[in-house]
Amino acid sequence: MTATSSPLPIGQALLRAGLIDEAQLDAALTRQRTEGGPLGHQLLLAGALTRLQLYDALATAWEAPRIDLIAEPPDGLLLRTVPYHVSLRDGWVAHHRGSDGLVVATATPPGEALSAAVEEYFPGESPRYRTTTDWDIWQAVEKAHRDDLLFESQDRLAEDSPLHSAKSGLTSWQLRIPLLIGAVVLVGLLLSTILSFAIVITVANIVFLTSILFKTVAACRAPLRRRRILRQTLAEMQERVRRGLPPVRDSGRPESDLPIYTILMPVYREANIVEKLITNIGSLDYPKSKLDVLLLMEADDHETIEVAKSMRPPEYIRLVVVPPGHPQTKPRACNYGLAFARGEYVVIYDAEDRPESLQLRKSVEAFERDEFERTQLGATQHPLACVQASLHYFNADYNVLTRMFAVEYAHWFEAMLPGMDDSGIPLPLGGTSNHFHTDRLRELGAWDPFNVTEDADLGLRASVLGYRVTVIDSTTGEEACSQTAAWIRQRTRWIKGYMVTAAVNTRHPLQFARDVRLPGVIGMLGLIMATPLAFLVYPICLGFTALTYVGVRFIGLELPGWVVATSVVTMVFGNLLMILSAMVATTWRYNWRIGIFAVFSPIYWVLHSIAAWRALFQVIRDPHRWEKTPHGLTEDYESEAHL
Amino acid sequence: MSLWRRAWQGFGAPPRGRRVAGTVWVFGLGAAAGAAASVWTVHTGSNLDYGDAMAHLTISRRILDSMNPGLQQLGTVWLPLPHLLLLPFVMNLWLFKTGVAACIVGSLCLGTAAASLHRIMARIGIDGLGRLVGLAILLTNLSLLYACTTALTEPVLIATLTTCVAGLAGWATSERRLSGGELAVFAGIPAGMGVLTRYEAWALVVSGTIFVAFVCVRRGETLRRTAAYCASFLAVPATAIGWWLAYNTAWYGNPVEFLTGDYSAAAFTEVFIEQGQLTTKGNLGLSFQVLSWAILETSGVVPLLLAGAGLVVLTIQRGIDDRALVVWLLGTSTAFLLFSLTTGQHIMVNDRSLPTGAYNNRYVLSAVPWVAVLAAYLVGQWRAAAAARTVATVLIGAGLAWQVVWWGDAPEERMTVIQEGREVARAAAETRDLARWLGEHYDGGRILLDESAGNEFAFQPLVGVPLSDYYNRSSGDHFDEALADPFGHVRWVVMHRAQLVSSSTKSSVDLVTEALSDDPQFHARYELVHTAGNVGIYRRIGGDT
Repeated sequence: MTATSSPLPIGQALLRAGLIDEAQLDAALTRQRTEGGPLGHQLLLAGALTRLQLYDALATAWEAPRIDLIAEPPDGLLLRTVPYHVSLRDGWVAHHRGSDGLVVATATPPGEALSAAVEEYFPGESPRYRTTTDWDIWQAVEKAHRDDLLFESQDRLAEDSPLHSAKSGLTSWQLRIPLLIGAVVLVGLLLSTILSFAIVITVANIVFLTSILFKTVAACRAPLRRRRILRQTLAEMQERVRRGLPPVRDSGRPESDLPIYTILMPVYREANIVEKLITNIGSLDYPKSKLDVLLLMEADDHETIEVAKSMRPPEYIRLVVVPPGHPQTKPRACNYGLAFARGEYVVIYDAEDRPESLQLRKSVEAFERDEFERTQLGATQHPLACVQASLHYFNADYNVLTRMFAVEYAHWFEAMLPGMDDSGIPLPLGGTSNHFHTDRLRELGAWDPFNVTEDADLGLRASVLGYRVTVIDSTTGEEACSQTAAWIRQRTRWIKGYMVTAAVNTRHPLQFARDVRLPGVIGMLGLIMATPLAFLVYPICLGFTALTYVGVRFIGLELPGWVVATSVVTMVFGNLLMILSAMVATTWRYNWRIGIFAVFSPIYWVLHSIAAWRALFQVIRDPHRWEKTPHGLTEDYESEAHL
Repeated sequence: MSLWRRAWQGFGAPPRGRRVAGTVWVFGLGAAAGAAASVWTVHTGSNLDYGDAMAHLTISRRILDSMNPGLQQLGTVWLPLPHLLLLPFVMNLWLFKTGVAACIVGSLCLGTAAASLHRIMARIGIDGLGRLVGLAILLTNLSLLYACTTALTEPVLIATLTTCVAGLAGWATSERRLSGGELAVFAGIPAGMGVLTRYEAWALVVSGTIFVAFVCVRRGETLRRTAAYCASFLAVPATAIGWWLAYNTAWYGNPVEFLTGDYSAAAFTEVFIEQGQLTTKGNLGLSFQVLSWAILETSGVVPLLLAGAGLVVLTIQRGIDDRALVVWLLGTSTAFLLFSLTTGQHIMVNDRSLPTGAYNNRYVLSAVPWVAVLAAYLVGQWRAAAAARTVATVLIGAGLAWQVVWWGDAPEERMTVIQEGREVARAAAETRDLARWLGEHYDGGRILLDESAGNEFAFQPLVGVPLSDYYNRSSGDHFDEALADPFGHVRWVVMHRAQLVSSSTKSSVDLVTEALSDDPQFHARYELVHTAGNVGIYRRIGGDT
């Protein structure tokens, strides 16, 4: 809503009509001065009047009677003449063509700008204007353009850039690889059992060690990165002081000029946490008039839709019902929501997320700094497409599984991701708290609805297409999955996503290597490929080294000494390395009580292995299957570990 | 509010979730008490009095430092965990020689036991004054303090038992229903460690499982969930037991080698049975009498009186509710000892046994935490004016102080744990002097020795030579090679000059004596350089280069 260029008449009109009182007007004006935005929006946010009351007043001021687009729906053919993003951006639709010409329903003031816009699509016509609400415009556009929107959210990437889409799944040669490996091993066992075992164990250990080394080296770089950033910051401050400037750079942008920020919140069968979600978003330190929150609900999720409606969410939250379609995945819902996003930046939060209050500001700051460095300082870095905030668990010590999850996440977000970032390796994004530059996200083709780890895939695609992803110093509280069965389903999806992402990006391996260069190749091999492979081979490593050779010798399998020795060393030292680095990262992030649980990592990885084998099976049989993670399992449990 | 007052309030505060205030401090206090006792015993050398203590140190070191290193060096005589815990420390030769390695492990165990005891007392609702009395009983028990400075297995057992019970108590008394995983980690893992330490812990696994089932039924859990909780608790100890059976199968071809083998406790007690000295077998009354006397001598009369009264009060007030059952769990090892004494699984000798003497009374050290908690319960539940409670506590403190002074006045007479150690040390004094002589005169070369030929040969720490320089039974085929050709293998031979006619076990025949004592070639090429009673040290004549 860009309701007024001069707010006073609207305010006076509303005051005169008795819809608001002086105090409400003064308060709205004060907020407008500090936060910016239209006065009408401020009054709506404050709950001073209803949307219909506001637009009735505007209709009077604009001398354009109000029209209800639900009661009097627009001509669909006419409406579709204008692209949906133009209608949504400019706030008008062509309603119908009557005997006396074109009628345009608008939520923005009629004037030269609007006339010019209409002229572009309906040249030579002299439209008559009717006032309508922004909500009516949105609803009408969504209804008329539903097919386009569904195509955009489901199939656009696969149509425009099939190489980057997981829609077609694995190629035939990729599908044959696991079968081929299985056959080779089987034949080998029949021909020479000892040699085959030796080869299998050696390969398994190499894969395991590769994964461990990648993770450990990345983790070890994290403290170096912190030190480098600290030094850089101090040097910059000293230089600024030397030049007589304030030590900390100010973007110079007043609060009222903060960009609109879109928050996408996909929910599915999570009626139980809608209330918390609204509360958590409300605690963000960002002007509410600049927030554009889209609660994305699936059409078949009647319970959540009903609960969300009954909550009467604040003005800055829009309830979006995603129409049925295939695949019914989170990325599809996010793509659908992205079509309605008004923000310069967009972020995804899961339903149970509790982002740090300053996170949006930190994200804006990171993007602005990137822009400043590239345009003003001549930095040669790729444009920033996304910043990832770190995640922690607010129920970390609920049970053993949540502790293990916390250990894993601490290692990932506090050590590995910063370390990878420092090495220039493309970052696979986490499923939440990744903040995008909206236009760049659209350029990238947004999320792949056919990839079950659309986040990791998008991070890599950003790198392939010449953009950059980095991490910011801000955290989001999440709920760790506390039930083993649900955890395995969730992890199956993640590992399957890594497998699919690896498959998609290596359809043309040389082209991929040229695009992402050495760091990208290292990331692909050491993380995206090695992670699922390491979990697949883990039972082999564990079984043949830990059990067979450490203490118990049942089966009489006499392998060459060097195989046994390297297997034991890889297993023992590999595990130790991971345990130690995870313990340090977790103790740093939480406390030693959680950190000590890193010693159970070798057992925790058995669960990963189960998930990895499920994932492999699903990749072959059902690559697009989305196993939803339930939220709210730990109810109101609050840990103090992350504080 | 003063610092002391705040600390006191924190110490006695009820548990908050998983947190029990003061745990770390109590751990530090226990470890410090163990360290202080260690300084004393290392100074006097009494920390190596027990032959078993030196054998444990040796077994632990030879896992890595041996002609035939590997986990098989753990053997089957004893369960493996204490040796594995000692391993990182005994690899330092000075820590091995002096026995300080065991002091470190023992002190940490005492700290763990004290911290766990504190947590148990907090979980069952004992207030600060009661907890103070309980801890005082534990940490002023001179026998226990002594044991914690040696390489005996009791400190590890007590630490694992109390930690397991603390885990069970935490699970049972939690306001929120904790998961099976929590039970497995906080109670199952200590139980698993316990079953790899001493067989008393196997009994705790049984009683712990019954306890879990009991609590579940009381909570109204379904049969399936009850079974799941029991399985969670059992998972780790069952795996540990499975591993132990597998280990015995792998190395000895018999899953119950530890129970029936030549080096087993059964084989050991067989000798006593043959000699008619296992009088407790089949005699519950005598077994009870012997065990009770051991507990009295080991725990002390003052703590035992308080514990007896505490037991009465506990039973009257709580019957067999969850908290009372937690206390009973601590008595598991005592019940097991009574059972195994009556069934002839082990032998215990003291002033009430037939014949009398001092042997294996240290087993009842595992009853000390039980006694401590019962006494603490008595004090903690006594509702009286603060002044009266303070006076009573002072009196109890004085009683405990008297107990310590009384013990300390004649430790060898009044503490069978000390008495047994001293008697062993005295009996083996000549052999130990011989070991020290060897250590002083050792000038390189390998040593041939049958370490299983009697308890007095468990003296390798006193020699202080790396164990890879020994040819002994644990070096496997190398031992046979050295027996066949000593001149080509060893510079030093230590053996009985004449084979002992009666051995305490079937496995105690000195294989070196058997192979070499009557071999004229051996006597031609080796000279007897030192003797101690029947044991001689032989040195190769020439061939040193």
